Amino acid sequence: MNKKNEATRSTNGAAPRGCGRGEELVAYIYGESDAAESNTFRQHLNACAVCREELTAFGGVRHAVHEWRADVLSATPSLDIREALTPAAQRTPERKRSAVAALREFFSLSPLWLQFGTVAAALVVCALAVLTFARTEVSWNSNGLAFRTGVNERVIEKQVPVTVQTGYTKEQFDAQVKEQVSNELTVAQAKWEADNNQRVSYLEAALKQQKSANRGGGTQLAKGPRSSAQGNPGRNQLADAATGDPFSTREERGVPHLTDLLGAVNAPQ
Amino acid sequence: MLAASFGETLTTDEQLVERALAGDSDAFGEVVRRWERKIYALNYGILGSVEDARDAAQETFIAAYRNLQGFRGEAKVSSWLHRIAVNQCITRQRRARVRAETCIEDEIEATGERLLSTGERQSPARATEKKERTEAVRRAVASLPSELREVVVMKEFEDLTFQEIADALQIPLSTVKSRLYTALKQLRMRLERFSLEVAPR
Repeated sequence: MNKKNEATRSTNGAAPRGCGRGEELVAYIYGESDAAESNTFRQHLNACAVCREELTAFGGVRHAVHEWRADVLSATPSLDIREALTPAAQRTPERKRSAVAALREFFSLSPLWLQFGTVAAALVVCALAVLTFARTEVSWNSNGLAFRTGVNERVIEKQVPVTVQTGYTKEQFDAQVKEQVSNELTVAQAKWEADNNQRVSYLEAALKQQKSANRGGGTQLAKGPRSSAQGNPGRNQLADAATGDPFSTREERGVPHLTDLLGAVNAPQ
Repeated sequence: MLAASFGETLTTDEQLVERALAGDSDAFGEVVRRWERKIYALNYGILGSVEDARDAAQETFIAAYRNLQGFRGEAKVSSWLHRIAVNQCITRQRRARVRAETCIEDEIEATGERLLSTGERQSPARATEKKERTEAVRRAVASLPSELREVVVMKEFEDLTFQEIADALQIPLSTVKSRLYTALKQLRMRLERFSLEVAPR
């Protein structure tokens, strides 16, 4: 540096003009002139003080620039070029590749059973997906295996219960219902009457038996102590007429039992 | 491990790029590893700013990766990369020419004053002296017109041949030489000015 300063200070004030052979000088400095050119220029240097002085000065400049370059290289900041490259250029192609590459790698590395197993599993999954999409119904019952698809069916969100059977108008249906109800009622009434008659005749037979047993001392059934209060000469009063009576209504408290009636009948005795 | 490092040193840049072209993403990473610092330094020499140089270095390698096919038929990866790097720098400079030049002018003024004041204030240790010198070089290079700065940095930083520089910049060989000569002359003048300013202490 000092040498350079001394060399340059002498020319200070008067700007170095050169001698018009700058290109040759540069080629000589950087070693890009061939042997003949170098010889010619060396001869020129012997004669030309301007070029000699410039050659020395440029040497100093170059030395300073190299010093600076070493500084720059040693103080290179974190460039993150590879990281910067990754999202911009590298990552995308790598990803595109990897989906296929990963599959290929899997199949090249895995044993045969695993390859077949994977293929089978994939096929099952695909088949299930198709079946689901086609709304296929598979049922297994006493009739065997039933299989149907719903590809062309519209999806019915809710099954509305159909109350009126097809083939009947409302009037017809009403008439049908009415007829059935009246039939049922008739049957029920007839049965009730038959039962009642049976019970009455049973009771009458019992009373007759009593009367014949106690001749002249009979108290009428109607005067029984509780029968009038109840005022219901229906089936309840007739219940429990005997053990084994089919109309047992013991749960109905307060209802006169046959024993009471018999008691009333036997009371005067 | 040993084999791998051996392989790396034996593999040429050109082979690495061929491998990258064949789909080996690690191969281009190796090219980056080999060249990132030098490309950064070249960019820094031309652009004169750490941030710009770093960005330009990134853009250089991204552009190189995107145009990996463009390498086919080239003799050397290095000159291919340098051309991309220089083009990145030129684009950058064009983009912010006015702003950059005013900044550099301001910087030169500021540096002159700072160099003077630090020289007056501190007793200069050797390290400080060297630091001031390299700082003066940085300012001197930064203050060169960009067409001169490019050639001198390409030559001094990367030791590219005249022909490589001519190819990269797409200028005649003689223009490279004349620009280089002018650049050296201007650098000399600027450095002398700084030296004179610092010297009288």
